[in-house]
Amino acid sequence: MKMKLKVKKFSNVIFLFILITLIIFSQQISAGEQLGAEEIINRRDDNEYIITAYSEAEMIIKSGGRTQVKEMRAWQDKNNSLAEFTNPRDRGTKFLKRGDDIWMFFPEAEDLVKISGHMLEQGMMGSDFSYQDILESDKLTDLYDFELLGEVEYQGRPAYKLEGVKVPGKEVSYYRRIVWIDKERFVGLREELYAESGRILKEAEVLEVEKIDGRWYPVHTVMENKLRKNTSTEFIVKEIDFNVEIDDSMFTLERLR
Amino acid sequence: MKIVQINHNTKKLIRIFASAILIFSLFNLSSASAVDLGGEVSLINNLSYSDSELDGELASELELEWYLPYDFPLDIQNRMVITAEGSDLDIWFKKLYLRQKIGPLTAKIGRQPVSWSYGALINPVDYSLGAENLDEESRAKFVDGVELYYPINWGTGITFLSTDIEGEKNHKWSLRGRTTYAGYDLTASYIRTPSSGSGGNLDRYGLTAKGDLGPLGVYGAFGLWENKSINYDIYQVGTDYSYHFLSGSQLYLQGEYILIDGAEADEGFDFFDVIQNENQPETEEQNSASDKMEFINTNINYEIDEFSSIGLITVTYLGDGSTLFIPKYSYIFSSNLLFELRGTTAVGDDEEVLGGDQIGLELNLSYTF
Repeated sequence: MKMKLKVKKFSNVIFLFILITLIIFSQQISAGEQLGAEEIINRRDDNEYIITAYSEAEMIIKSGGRTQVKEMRAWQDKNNSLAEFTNPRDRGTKFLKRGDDIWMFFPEAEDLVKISGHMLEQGMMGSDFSYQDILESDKLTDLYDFELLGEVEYQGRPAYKLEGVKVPGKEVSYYRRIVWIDKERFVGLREELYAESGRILKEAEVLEVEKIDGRWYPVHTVMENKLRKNTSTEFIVKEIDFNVEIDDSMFTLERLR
Repeated sequence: MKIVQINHNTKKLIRIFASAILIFSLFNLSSASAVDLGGEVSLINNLSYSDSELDGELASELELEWYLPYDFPLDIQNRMVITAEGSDLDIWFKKLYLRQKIGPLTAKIGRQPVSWSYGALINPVDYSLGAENLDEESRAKFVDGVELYYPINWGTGITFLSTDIEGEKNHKWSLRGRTTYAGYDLTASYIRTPSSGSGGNLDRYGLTAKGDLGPLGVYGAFGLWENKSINYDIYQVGTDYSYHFLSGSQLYLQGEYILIDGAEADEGFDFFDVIQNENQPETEEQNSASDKMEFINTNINYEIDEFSSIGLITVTYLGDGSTLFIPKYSYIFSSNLLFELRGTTAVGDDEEVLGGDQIGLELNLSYTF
């Protein structure tokens, strides 16, 4: 009888020990989830930052009740990108971005011209996305200092809200950006882009994300240039292959011709 | 000279080769996995008014291009044009060439567009002389010949080009290098144009640079043109800038200055046809004229929205103030029809360099498919 009681007491002690261990462990897990701003952005970058990729996309430009559709395919690596338009009106028009410079190929005359710097902020092919927005390949944490503003719910999803201010000395299109990042999937849900004066310049909303090759990726985004009236551009990724092999000759002026 | 002779002999070969490529392509289309046909259909109305007389020409054009699949065994670039003007029907190729890797070189053989643009309104160092943005040139920018491109690195390469010239036994040829340095796009070129005219062959040397200076795009060029009767030094500097309005519209401004040292205005200098021009007899009076010509060219383009834009190009000869005005307007209808309007008029007397009373108007309605 005594033996049974001892075993029971021992079982209770073990149970208590396990319970305490679990509580402590779960608290540690919970503490681990209190991610810092940089970690959140890095985890988003793990999903959205491209080492190499081939993609096919569609831009639906809406302006004053009218719509234009442009199709493109693009190759990207960490520093460079090459985009080629495939819709009838722009077929064969190509852009090569290397670092901060962009070259454009006009198929009609087979002309290859370096684009002036002031054009890079303009809407690419009349869209709300600038050349920089589409062809930008830098990591956000390299360009902005981020701060976590809080946790919110966005479109029914738990999300982190962060503010990024440009790193001094870096050349960026937007001085400040506020981003909403899905807390579970670590993919951007919304973004507001501001000028140094505080004026809002653009607003991007992710309408659809997909899990591709084990990573969540925004496949349908709508961008509104707040400086323009009644315009928006939807960017729809039709196909994307990550970590494809891209030949060195892809990002050359020769390939652009 | 030996090269020129070989090139001359290749003239027929190129044409035979181009035809063979086309036939080969057409036979292989059935087996190709994804051939696409695209192009443009246009209705062009040219009106001109001069000496109280109005003339008009109406033409329709169909451009067709076969887009061959990426796994097609040959890289063939093509664009066929069918032009109907009155009862005349003309079929010709804007381009029909084979692009082929040969060791480290990339060769383009056949009819091909050649444009050495760096953003200038008038390009004094282009392979074919003419105004870049002054419409009539765009139709004449293709050549029949062979281009060999040797890449040195991603942004540096050397191009050799040899092309046929109508009415000349020898071929025109050129060597051009292109590189980038500190964000600037730099080129150097040499072009030999054969001529049986009094001045003999024309040699043209050129240097260009294009880059950014703060918020401005900047470019410059130096050209040296010489033969027995011509010795021109050409200097060009230009800049461009764009501004976004809050309404979403956009203004693009461009201005450039060209100095042609050695050219005389009274000789009826024609920038676009120097060799023909040199055959005109000189007079004593002409020789007494100033030996330099200066031009200011501007381009203002206002993009009202994604579908419409209005603009004006001007070319002014500073020697007499005569100015050529080229207004333009374009609008894309919701049916995707593109309407373009382009005019040409001059301010200046008949005897002035850019003067005259002729007014031209081109209306173009096109649909791309």
